[in-house]
Amino acid sequence: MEDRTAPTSASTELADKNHAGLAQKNFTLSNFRSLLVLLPGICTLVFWEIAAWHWPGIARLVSQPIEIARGIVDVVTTGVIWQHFDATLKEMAAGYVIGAITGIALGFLCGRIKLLGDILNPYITLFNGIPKVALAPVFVIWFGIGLMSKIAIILTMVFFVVFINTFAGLRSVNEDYVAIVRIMGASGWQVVREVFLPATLPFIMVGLRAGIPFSVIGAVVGEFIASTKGLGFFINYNQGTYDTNGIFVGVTILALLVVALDGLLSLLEKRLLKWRPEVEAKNVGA
Amino acid sequence: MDPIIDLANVTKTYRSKGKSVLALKDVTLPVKKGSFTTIIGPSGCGKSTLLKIIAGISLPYQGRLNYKGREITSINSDIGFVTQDSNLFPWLTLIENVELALKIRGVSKEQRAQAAQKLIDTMQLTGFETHYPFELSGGMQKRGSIIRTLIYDPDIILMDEPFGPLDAQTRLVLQDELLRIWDTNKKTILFVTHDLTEAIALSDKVVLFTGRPGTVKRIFDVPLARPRNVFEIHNEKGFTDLYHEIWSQFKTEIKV
Repeated sequence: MEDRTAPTSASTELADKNHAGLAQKNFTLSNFRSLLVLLPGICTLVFWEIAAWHWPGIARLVSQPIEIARGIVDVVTTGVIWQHFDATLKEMAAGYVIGAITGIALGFLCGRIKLLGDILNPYITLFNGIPKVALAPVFVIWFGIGLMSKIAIILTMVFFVVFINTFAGLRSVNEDYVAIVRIMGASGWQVVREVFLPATLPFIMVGLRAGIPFSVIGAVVGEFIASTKGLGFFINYNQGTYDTNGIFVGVTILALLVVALDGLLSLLEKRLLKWRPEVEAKNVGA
Repeated sequence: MDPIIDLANVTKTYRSKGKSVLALKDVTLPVKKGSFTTIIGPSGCGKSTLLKIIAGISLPYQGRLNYKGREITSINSDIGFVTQDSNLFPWLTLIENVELALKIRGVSKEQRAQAAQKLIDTMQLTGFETHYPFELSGGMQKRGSIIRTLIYDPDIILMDEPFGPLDAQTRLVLQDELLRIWDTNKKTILFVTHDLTEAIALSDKVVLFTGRPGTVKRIFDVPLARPRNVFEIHNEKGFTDLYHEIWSQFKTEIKV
């Protein structure tokens, strides 16, 4: 501020100021946006809580936010929830990882080997049309009521969504890119590494993110049918004892788990796909 | 001297929707080493197909196509190919894109970074090395796509309407830069365009193609002196006559 000898420096200063002002504005704008995102959620919770105070019947049917929060704190502090959480997480992790790997691998094979893709595609479409949930009882018969049957259900669900996205990704790779690296002298493996993998990555990420809720659904459905532990078992058990709040505690924990896992994947996606103008998650499948 | 590329009666048919389509018919065209040759013709006349055949990515073909005296039967890695779209890989930064060919050829990290930096500097792209393609203007992307081809020092550069999508000014600037590169490196360039002014401004020979199936209608020598000023090429002595001569033949192919 001291040095104002030349008009140019003053005008530069002014420009800088304007710039800073603009940046400030943008900052508060984005803050405002995230507040707006929270608004509907907060309103719903408040409305729900107040409604439950006024009409006790509502609390019996859908519980109420403060009670659910108290219930969560309770099951966490007493440690009741851990064996269930642990069981569900293990099922999900195993089923998800196996489903994702087989989905990516087979998606690559079918996407690049045209004949194989053409032969297998109708079958995959057919099996994808079957509601996988309907297969859950069969898996319990085959694999028992333990971990294995849940892994089977989850991996079937995750496999299809990852496969279909990977396959679509490979079929949409710009053939010019392939020609360019092949003229540069790339071997078959180099074409995969330099073109197919990075070009398909956005699609694979869409499949992986869409697979997260599927793995939760698979785990819960499997546990509903037959199990001795897991968050699905926990919910089912509370249903049996007519404990609405307990059910909502289980459901909320599941929802938080999905949000956390999706957040993790979204971070990974932002890192891996920082070359894209804007990273926007499109959920395909469901 | 033998031509570096020698096409004799090259014919290409491909199947589309169960029917066979004749894309090129009896193309005979010798290309001299170190020359700048431009192919011009109506859209859909198979110009791009011809470049792909020469690069070895659109096989098989009928007829004879020799490169340095040997038949082309597979992908030819002595060739550089600049496509119509810049086609820089969006997941690589500018410098990684430029280095790519050397990476594929197993050149060490330091060496390829050095080579890429040199080309980036000559193209005035300094400062944008770590930018991703979406952060670069169309002209900068195009420069990038040219130098990523130059980096492996190919004998021939095939260019498929490389300046087509650019605005008029950027186009002139890049034509000028291309000519300077060509003057210093003396690469053989085979250039496809549908812009007659561009064809004359750049080349030693203009090859006029007929409509589909494409074949050589006539080859024109461009007698204009070098180095050329692409910005003022209209005022060059002999330009207008040649333009009209080629245009009178060209327009019957595009049914104006």
